[in-house]
Amino acid sequence: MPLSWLPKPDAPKTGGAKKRSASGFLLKRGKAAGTKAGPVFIAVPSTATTPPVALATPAPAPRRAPARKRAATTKLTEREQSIIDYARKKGSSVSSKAAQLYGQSSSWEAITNKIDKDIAITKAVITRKNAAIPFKLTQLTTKPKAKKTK
Amino acid sequence: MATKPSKTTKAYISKVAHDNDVRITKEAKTLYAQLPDRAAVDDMISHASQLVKSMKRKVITGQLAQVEMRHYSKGEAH
Repeated sequence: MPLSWLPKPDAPKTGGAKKRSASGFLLKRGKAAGTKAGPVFIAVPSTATTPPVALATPAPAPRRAPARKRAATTKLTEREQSIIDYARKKGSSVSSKAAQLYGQSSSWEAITNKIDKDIAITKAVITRKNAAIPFKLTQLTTKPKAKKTK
Repeated sequence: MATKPSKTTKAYISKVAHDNDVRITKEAKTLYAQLPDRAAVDDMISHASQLVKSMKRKVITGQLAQVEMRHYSKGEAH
């Protein structure tokens, strides 16, 4: 098969080296606006294949996991809040669930007695300063109010 | 003067503690030995073991026995 379509190796190259400006822009032959005639070189941005380093697209930032939704918080009653405050004053703490359970007691004195007792037990078993009263202990020492049956 | 608890009383306390799947210290044993009868011992140790288990622990210590006995003497055992 004849390879006539291939350029001959010793054939003169068409065009030759293209003119470029000092900053690397390719200079093309053309007419500048407002001029009558004559060859004028206009700066045309180079069509270089590699983009400038500064223009390289940055790697995408790692995606953040969506923020966890908080469980709906229940508002504490005044009584429950004062139970929590009382335990804190005594150097311990109670959970809101435990406060709810203590709050079912009939009088404030009964509540404080129970909390004092539970703090004493907690301190005796958990030899740590200001240990919180475990909810399970509250459950054991406080009888929940019987629910009304229809 | 308080009488010295007998060996059988202490052995009985150990047995009750073992039945409740808890261990008991020597000090706690001495304190529980002051209880008037075996029924009280059963009751107190079963309560103490519940408390201990609720806190994911396995030993009835002397401190806990002290607290429990204080409440018992006040007439407010549980």
